[in-house]
Amino acid sequence: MTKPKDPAISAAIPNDDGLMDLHHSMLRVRLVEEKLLQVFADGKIPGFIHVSIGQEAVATGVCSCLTPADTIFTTHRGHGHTLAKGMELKPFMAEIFGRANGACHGNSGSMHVASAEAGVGGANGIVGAGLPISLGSAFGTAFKGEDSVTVVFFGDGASNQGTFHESLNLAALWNLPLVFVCENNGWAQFSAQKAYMKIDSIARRADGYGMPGVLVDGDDVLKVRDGMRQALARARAGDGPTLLECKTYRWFGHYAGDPQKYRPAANVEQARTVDCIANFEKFLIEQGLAGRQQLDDVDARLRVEIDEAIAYAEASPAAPKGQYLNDVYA
Amino acid sequence: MTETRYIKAINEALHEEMTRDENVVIIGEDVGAPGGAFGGTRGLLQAFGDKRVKDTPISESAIVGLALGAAMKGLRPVVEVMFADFLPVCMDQIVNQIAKTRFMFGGQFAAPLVIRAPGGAGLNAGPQHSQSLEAWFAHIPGLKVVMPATPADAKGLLKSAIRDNDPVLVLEHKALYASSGDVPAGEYLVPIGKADVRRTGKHVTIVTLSRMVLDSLEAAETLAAQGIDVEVIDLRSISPLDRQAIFSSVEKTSRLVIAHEAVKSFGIGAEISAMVSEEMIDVLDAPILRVGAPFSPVPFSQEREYLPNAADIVRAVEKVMNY
Amino acid sequence: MSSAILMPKVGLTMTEGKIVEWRKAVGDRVEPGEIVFVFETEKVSFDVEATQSGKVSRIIVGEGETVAIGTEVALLDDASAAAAPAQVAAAPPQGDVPAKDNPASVRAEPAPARGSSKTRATPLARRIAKVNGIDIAQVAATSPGTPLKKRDVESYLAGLAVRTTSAPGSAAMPTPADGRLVKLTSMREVIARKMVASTVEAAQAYMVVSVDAGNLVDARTRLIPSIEKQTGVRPTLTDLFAKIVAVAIERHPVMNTRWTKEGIVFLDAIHMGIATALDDGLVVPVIGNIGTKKLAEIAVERHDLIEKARSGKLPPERMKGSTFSISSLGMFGVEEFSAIINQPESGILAVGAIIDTPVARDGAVVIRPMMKLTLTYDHRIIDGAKAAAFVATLKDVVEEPLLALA
Repeated sequence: MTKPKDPAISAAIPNDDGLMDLHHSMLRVRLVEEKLLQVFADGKIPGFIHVSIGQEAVATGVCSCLTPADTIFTTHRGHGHTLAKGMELKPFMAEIFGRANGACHGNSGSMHVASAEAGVGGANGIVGAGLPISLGSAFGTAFKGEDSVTVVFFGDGASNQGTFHESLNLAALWNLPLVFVCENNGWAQFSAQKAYMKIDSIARRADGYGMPGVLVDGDDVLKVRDGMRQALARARAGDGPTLLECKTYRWFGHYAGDPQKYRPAANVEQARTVDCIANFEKFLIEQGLAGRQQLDDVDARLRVEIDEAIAYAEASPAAPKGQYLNDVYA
Repeated sequence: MTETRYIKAINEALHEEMTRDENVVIIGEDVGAPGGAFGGTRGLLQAFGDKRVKDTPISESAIVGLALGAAMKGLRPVVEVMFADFLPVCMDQIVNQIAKTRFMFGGQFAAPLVIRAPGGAGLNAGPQHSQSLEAWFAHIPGLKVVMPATPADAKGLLKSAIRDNDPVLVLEHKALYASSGDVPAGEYLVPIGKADVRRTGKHVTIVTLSRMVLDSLEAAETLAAQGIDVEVIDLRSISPLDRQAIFSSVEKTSRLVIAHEAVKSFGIGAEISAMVSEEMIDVLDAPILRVGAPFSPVPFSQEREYLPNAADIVRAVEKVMNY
Repeated sequence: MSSAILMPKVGLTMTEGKIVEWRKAVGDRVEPGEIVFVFETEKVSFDVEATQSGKVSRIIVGEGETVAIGTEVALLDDASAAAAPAQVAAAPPQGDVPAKDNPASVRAEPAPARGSSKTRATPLARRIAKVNGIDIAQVAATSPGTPLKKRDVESYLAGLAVRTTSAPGSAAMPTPADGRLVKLTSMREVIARKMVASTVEAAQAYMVVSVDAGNLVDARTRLIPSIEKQTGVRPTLTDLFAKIVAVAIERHPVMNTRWTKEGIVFLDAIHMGIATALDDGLVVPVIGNIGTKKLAEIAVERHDLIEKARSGKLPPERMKGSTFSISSLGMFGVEEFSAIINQPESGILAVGAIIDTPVARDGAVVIRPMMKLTLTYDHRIIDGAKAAAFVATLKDVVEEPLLALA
């Protein structure tokens, strides 16, 4: 399967170097998560969700460089990565709604959405736990002589887990085709980065493990994409892993409904002044690559797609009684 | 059949499986040229090369997580964790990741990997190198746990574990590594989830595993001299548990003693006892007794005193018989 | 602080005790040495004294309830020390042997005591009883004090089968609906269990003989003054009779045996059990090594044991280990009766009253003090002819006590 594109836009603007796809991808993530916040507030989703609104440029910038053969591992805040990597919206939504035809049979919910087909090795509810697994994925593809690459997303908080250090060391040692993407939104759950870390840039840590550490503006999808392209080139050439730090802002709380009492209002306001999608639309219009109406049409088509996915999920049957016993063992 | 040492039987299984399936890879600390801390991987590097025999840094979480990722990509990794006591170091990867991979992703991914780790006491290795932690892992849905007591089972269970499509924890007993026994040459598979009746008897059932199988058989000899006819069931697999083997035996004897080296409290003996009580209490003609270690870490100097042994089993059986 | 009073263990085999009386109520103060409660085990009751002062704040186990040893039966407030077993007023003569130290289980915390007065039986025993429609409480344990097991129920069933075939059409069990229910004491439970077990286990056969007790009565009359002067105790006919029976047994060792799975054990010493009626039951105090004892010693010992038994202070150890028993109901005028073997012995002699009876002697009818002796013997061990030979010897020595010296 391929990543969802908007064929109408792509045909209208040739030689756009995928720029309209970047816009489509970011806006899709944004609109999906806005819709999720709404249905969550309506009490239609069990459990809890973590949204990445404001951080779409990272997911899109990184995943736009990947093929379905490449694999990503993501985090509790993984909707964006998963969708940008190309997961279909309907099984994604049905899983979050806990339905039988959810991607994971309703076993897991928002925090563990995965798609083998789209190369999404799974979102993970344990901070920093995806890094060791990504080592094996990269090792496995290299072992089999495939030229695909593994990408692991994690946050600034995870960079203080032992798994981060163990994994960077081992990946560098074995020259694994792996890209470590640190999506630094400045907040580890309820704590600001300066409260738990002496350094500003996590990319600096790469040096300690013998790999390049690259810091990019995570709110600029093109800069993210450039950084990722270089990291991928290294990985595909057999030159080993890269630590790519994308600095961005978390617009909302740690989880949907988080009152963020720990966070100064000014910090939230400031975060929301940096809108990767608005900025990119402005850029597209200024460059004459798209008109407002075209972009609004994209928005309108996406909303239809999302409403359909929500309707699909809501209409999907609940997981059958005892379904949970079916996936424990082979 | 050839007389083979337990550790050699493990080595033989690895050689055979790596020859059979090129996706079998060995991952662990010092598993390459050194051949593993106890010699389990000896000769594999020479035979299969460093692409398939991977020495790693001392990073248990990374090693075990790496095995999971590789398994998701279709390899059959066999990880050696040098001591079972180090499994807690990578507990998240085992419990939250490996065990739940199939479930959490709705069967889209599987984790067909093996973790080998030597547990058990008997070598005066002290509190952090002597534990029997099988109950922890048997408590986790998604994992399989086996504990061979004999060289033949060490080979047969490991080969089955490598071919299994689920993650299998093979808890070897380091005090048994030097023990010898007949091991079938070549293809020999011991099914996971099947117990073995090591001795048939009609008065009391002893359910046991790993090193305590030997103690139980010794106890059975002593008891036979008193006219007490003991049936010894070697579980071999803790998870899945061969419930039927236990039920059938207790149905016959009406008396049950469970012997394990692990701390008695909250151990698998408690699980088996509860299970038998739930399913067949009206078959019991005496209380179910457990033989296990005291509620203390494994001591260094007083290890022998601490460890449950054949005499403890004899006493428990006598108590059951004299109830 | 508060502390607990526990059910003490007073005998080697004691596993539980039944509280028969609380001498202190909640709120009462107690001082060390004061009797707090009375319990009974098997056939004996014990006074339990406080070991510390304090106020009884709670009585946990009520009268009539049976609990395992070590169970907390009451709490004392303002107590000066931690939980301790209560002090038994009359300590048994033989010290308790500590339980065998079992490292594997001793390491574990002791099992919490169970405070149940229910019949203790394994689930399997209960199931077999239920399937066969019998009341588990009717079954006697082969090892008294242990829970009923499969073998107990099976042997009960085997006995039932024998009785059913010999007495078909037995009447329906009476129900206590219209009568007065007297709750079972532990002594009654023990008696019931032992008696039923005995009838189930042994092949009991009977043999009756009439003996002339004239010389026996004379001998006693002549011995009374010196023994009474020497010991202060009047020897009874039973004392003399016990000694004479022992002499007869010495000449017929098969009477002093025990049935075991492995074979018949011929016992070296004769320990004579003397069944003694109490107001509310029966005890069998034991004169150990009776063959080596003089009549005076027997009299003193018997007197002492029966006094203790009457006041409920006879330690269980003194009621165990008999190898042959005699039971006398002569004082009630009973002419003849049969007794049930006191397991695991192989014989018991039932002694009737001495009654002046016309008998033929040398062709003439004379009045003689006659006594009927009924031997119950275990036919598994003792054949009829052997029992008869014993009875003949017995008759000889009773009728001519001097023969005891021969």
